[in-house]
Amino acid sequence: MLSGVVRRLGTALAAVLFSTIVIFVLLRALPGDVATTRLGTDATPQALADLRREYGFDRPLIAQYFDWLIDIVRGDLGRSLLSGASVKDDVVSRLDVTLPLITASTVVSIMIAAAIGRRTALRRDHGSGVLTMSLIQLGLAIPPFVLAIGLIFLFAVQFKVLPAGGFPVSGWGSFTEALRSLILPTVALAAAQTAMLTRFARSSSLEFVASDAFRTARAVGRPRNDALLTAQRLVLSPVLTVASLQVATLITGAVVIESVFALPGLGSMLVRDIANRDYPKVQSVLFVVVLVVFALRTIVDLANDRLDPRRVA
Amino acid sequence: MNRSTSLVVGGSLVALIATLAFLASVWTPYDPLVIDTTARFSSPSWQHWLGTDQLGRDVLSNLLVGSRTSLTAALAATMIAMTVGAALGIAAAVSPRWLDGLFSAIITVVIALPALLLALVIAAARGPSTSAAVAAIGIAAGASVAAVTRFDTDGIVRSPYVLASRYSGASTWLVIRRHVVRNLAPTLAVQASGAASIAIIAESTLSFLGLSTPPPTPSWGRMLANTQQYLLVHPLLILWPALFVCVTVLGFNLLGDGLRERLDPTLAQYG
Repeated sequence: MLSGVVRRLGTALAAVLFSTIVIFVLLRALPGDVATTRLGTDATPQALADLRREYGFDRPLIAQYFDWLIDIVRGDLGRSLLSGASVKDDVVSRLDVTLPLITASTVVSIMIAAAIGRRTALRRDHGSGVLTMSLIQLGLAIPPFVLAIGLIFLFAVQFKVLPAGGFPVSGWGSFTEALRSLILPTVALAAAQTAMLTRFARSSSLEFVASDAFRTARAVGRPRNDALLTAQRLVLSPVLTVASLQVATLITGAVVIESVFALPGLGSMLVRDIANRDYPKVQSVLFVVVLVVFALRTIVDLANDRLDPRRVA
Repeated sequence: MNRSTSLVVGGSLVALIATLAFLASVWTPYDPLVIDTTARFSSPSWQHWLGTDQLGRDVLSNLLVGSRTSLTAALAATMIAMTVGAALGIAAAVSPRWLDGLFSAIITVVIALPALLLALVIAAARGPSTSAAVAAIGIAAGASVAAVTRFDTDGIVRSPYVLASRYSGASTWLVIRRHVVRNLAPTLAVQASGAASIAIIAESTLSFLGLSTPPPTPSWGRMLANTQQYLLVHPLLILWPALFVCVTVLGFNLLGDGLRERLDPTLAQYG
């Protein structure tokens, strides 16, 4: 049990470390000189050199990488090149939007998938099967940003029941408003995810119902419902496996969804910083994004290991 | 869904969109870029079958040329994904254990990286370009192709007939050519279909954000982005490109399902 946890954490740590190399190399390979971007082309060579020294751009690449790595391990994400503001403060305030959005989408999609999967196994009449499968195909075919526009049209423009975008300035201080403004984005983000997970839940439920284990359980007199309860973890396990793999897709989706709904999240900040060529900040924010991906994945994987102990062995 | 139904419906949808895309290279009702300020927001009519947009451009012509833009980009990305993915997957499975471990680690990390986010960074820094978007989508989709291919190839090279062939002196290269590639071909077709569907969604998303094929070339994603602000007054303008994206993705998804069920008939039973 404990060694399983240690191994999961170790793998995640190694993956995050590898990702820091990818991020660092990617950002150094981009065109454009950061000092010139900040000071303009008519800056004096002296000023440019000073700025480069301040940010450590004059040091060898390897040294720059380790400087950055040591800083982020210490919890120092550096400062924005443009505003000079602490990146950490920016990130923390933006996570208020992005983290609930992604977590809610993951949890909601897993719960719906598990519920529908179970229901499919309980009643195998073909009518509901066709309906579920059609809904799944529909969910998989609509890109999240298209669904987002559709939801805005329906619920914000036509029925005027939910806000079309934005997030209260006071954040979670005005709890109801904050919650209301995240409903449509969560639905838009979770729909495709739910369709994909439901599909896996459905097929593993049907597979279980057709299995010898289920037939035996029924033969010794256990009610259908009760026999399925035992199988719940077997059915849920593949769903969690896919959910863990999908976290990265979800983060990318969040970037788009945040920009459609004008939400002040990590994704929309990242898009703006990239456009401003604030590379030192982009580098640290990308690191935080990767950290969030691997943290969520590790949590889902650990839950999955508890559900199905065969995975650990 | 019935297995032949998925295959037929999916195949027809893909063929339909491909035909429209091909048609756009030969003929469009109007020049998609010609601006006619006297005919802004005109409703569907005999002159303009699907109406005109905010600049008086013919919507149908833009959709047709957009099909070509999206399908070409998706096709190129799929080819990158399949080439990189299949090569890496096969290489990992037939390599010595330590090399396989390294390849697998790379595949796992690339799958977990928000690859499209990195594409965003490249596109924003270098300016929007079709080739950057295609490369990023190809590599992102290629990682999962590689993971599946590695798993399948592993099964094939461990099977008794391959072992027998090896003991009678077949080289690794011969095994790959004679057994692995031939056995993988059907599953690769299924994966290509899935990769194409992912590529269509990714391309339309990137061009919606203004990070793929630069203007003035029409694309579905940009049509959606440009008409979003007229949602209240002219919802039809946004419906058409949305419909084209969804139908194309649905087509590739159904095609992939149909192919997969044909390969493994037990799947049809379990959805």
